Amino acid sequence: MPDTALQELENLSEALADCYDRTVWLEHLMVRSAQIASEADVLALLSEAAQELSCAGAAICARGRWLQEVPSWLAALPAPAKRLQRREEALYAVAFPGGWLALWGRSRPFSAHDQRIVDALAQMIGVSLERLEDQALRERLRLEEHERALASQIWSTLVPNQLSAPTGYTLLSSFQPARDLGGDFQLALGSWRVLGDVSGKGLPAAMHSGLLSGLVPIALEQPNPLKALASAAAPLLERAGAFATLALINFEQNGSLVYGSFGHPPLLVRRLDGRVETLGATAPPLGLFDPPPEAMRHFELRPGELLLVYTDGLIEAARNGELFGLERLSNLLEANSEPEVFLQELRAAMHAFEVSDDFGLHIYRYVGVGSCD
Amino acid sequence: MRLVLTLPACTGSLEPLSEFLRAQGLGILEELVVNELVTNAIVHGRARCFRVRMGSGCKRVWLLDDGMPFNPLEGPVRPMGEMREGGYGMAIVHKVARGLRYSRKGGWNCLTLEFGEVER
Repeated sequence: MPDTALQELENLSEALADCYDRTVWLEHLMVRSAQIASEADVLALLSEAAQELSCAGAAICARGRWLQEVPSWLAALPAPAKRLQRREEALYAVAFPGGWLALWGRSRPFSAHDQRIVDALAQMIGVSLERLEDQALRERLRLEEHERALASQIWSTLVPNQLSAPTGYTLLSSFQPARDLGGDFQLALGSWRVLGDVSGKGLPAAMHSGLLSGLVPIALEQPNPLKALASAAAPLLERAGAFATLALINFEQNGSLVYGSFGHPPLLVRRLDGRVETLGATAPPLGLFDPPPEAMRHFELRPGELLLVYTDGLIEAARNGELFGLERLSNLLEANSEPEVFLQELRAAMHAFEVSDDFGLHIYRYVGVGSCD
Repeated sequence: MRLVLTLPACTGSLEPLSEFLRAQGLGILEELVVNELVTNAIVHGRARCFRVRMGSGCKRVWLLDDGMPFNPLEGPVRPMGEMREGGYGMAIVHKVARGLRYSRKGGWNCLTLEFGEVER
């Protein structure tokens, strides 16, 4: 065989061996990329590839952040749209969705074949990084969900779902946080019943409503409960940029009631003849302004008369920008003397309205002295 | 110390409001901003009552009104200089107020406005 043919054959077999090596290595790359469980694995794979391709350095930039220390000339380079080659640093760089990778410091230029390998590597790394990101997000969501479930559990021990009726009264109530916990809160303490609502929604609002649920019982034991509550709760609410409305009502067995309202939507009293009276706020919302020195008011109920206390989720339920409103509520109360029927009618009337907030409602009916309720 | 003003929501209240704000050290533009928001609540929000509170030492104003829900952070803000009805005032509000926070609760619109330090 002539020397040239021999040389040709040698070249060919070398190229074939080279090709085989690359194929084996690509297979290896595929397996490795499927096993990637961390950013460190990605970097290990990259440095292996750099070695395989006889490059002095290799680096990955993902979401605008380099995953390792890089030379300043590289840090100064803008991300390539697709590919980038630079002779000075013997650099070859390839973009992948979400980032790019660079290999440099090679003694010979990147052949078309080498480039294809680097392109494949870049796509694999891109996919792996995306998968890692998804995993981290899922893990974070799972943790958040867990914490939320815990918070919801704690909240439901602070804010009861059902209240007992005060002696001498019946109570029909509906209490629905917009989510599993919220800014509405209610509590019963002796002859006191309280319904309140903190600005905001979800977890932050629930933290404040939980806090208020703890403060109200202490305040009710003070000579001036409203003042005590304001001085304890207002600074905390104010610091958080939140405020609350709440109504506190003391039910005496003889039908004599005392109430205080921190900017709460008007309490409605349905008299026996159907007339509906509104009992407005006796103090501004809690957390913004000091209550006046005397903010408790007195009123009376006769047997069969109703008292309606609710949170703003009810009157602010909206239908095409139109609010459900106080007037509609008041008319419904006027037309219905039975709490159960009233609640049914209310639900029917609200059907087309979207309730976007927490929603709390108490309907008290005075039964009278000597009743067994 | 809390500096509070409570007034019926009518245009007749705008003058005592201005006096109150000036006495607390608000500048002319800042006063204009509060005035604009209160006027909005009276005219468009049909508020019956409003309250203003000034923070002492810092130019922070809390504004509470019982009008229709209105969040000045939502809705289009037209560029300054375009004299159009309804658009010009809100542009000033956004330009002058360093911070603006809105919440709605219990039938109240509550706005917190930050203007920065009071010059003494």
